Amino acid sequence: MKPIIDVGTLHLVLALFLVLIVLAISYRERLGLERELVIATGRTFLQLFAVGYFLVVLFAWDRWELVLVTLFLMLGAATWIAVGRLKHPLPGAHRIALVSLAAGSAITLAFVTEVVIGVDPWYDPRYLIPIGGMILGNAMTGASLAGERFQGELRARVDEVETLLALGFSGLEAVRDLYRSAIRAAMIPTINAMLAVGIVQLPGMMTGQILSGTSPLIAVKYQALVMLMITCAVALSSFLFLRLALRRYLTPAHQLKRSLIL
Amino acid sequence: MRTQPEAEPILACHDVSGGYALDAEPLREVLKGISFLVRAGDCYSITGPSGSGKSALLRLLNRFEDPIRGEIRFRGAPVQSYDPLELRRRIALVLQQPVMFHGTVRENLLRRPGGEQLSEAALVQALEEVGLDRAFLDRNAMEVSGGEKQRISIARSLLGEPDIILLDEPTSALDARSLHLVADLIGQLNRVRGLTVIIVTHQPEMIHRLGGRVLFLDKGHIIRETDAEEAARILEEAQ
Repeated sequence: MKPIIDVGTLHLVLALFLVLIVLAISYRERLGLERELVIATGRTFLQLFAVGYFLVVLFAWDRWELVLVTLFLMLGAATWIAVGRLKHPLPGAHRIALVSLAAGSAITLAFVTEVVIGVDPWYDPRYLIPIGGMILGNAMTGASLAGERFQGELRARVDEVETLLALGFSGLEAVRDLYRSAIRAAMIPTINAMLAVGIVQLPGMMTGQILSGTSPLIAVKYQALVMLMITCAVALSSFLFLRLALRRYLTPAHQLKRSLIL
Repeated sequence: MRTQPEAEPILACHDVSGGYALDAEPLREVLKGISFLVRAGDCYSITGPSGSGKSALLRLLNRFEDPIRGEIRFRGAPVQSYDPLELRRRIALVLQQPVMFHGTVRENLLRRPGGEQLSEAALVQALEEVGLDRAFLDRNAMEVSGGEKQRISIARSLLGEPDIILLDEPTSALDARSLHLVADLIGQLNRVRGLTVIIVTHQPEMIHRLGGRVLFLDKGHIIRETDAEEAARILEEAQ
């Protein structure tokens, strides 16, 4: 097999020609995107190179403490972003997001790396960091989708919930339909991705592996594993997030906290 | 049949403050020092301008909210001493906007807490009590008229065999004919079935048809308690 071609730094600068095309379109059609595009291009280079150098150091040091610290920092960022995506305030949202993302991701990550792949040593950053990142990123999107959908449903269907409460249904029973539709909303993009995978485009990770010289058959196995672990992480995190969030909206006396809804 | 005046009150509010005025933003506590007694079989109308705390008061009685101060007693015991789910079956609240779930009227009536099973005869009886015949059971609940929805939601509450029914402006969105039907129905539930009725309304017509006692609320205070005839007159003069 031929060795992988490293993209030279000067050649990468050539890729900026692609951005020039976009700039030209934006300018000609007066899209007003020039400023954002320049900033976005700058950040793409900056962020990716920063991560690249960081990973080089992390791989070279090869210490389990550093791997865990890195995973915790990623968890913190995911928590922050997930809460930021909620459209309405939720008391204790950071703690709820932290617990649900941590539990949902840790269970999935441990199972995938230690049981399915059998990573050795257990903390090998080459596996834990990229796989952990994929799991956390998707869990974050899932939990915030579920939370946002639940908040929206609760606002739209508050009369329905109160009708059930007034009839003597428990708080959990009264919001069950809303809760189900929120988990479904979080799961559907992932399930759709599973249905479409490989048909139009190859997923990023699989493409990366193939480009870096891995046999497509190995890449396919990893990709299948990725799809399954993402689905599991999304389901676990959105489920936990909603179960914990529900307790903020309902009191032990099965009262709906209207102050959180109006 | 009216209960004897010396009978133990079925519901009592002692110096109650709190409750949310849901039609005002931001959410604020509205009720201040509310006290009144309701005896079994009474019919109480609560009236007053919007934002005066009428709905907020109803929502305290079935424990949708808890008061900040004061005490509400049901059959002599504080409402907090009851299982809240049982309390809400004993004190049934019918909301202003009747909510129907997807499906037939039968499916709506059969949606009961705790997996409670109901016979067909019980459903028919509940519908008849609100003046609807059994043919309604197979109608699509989303497609019946506003007045019929309100009557079905009253029937749904009656299936829990409540001691008290709370109604929050049940006829505010209905035309005159439906208003009369629903008003007469509520009057019958009170007089014939002996159900204790507490109703929020701003319609003199409703108060006049129901009779009983009337509480006037303003800015969270009870400013007057009177009988229905005088109340209807006051309201008509004000309009």
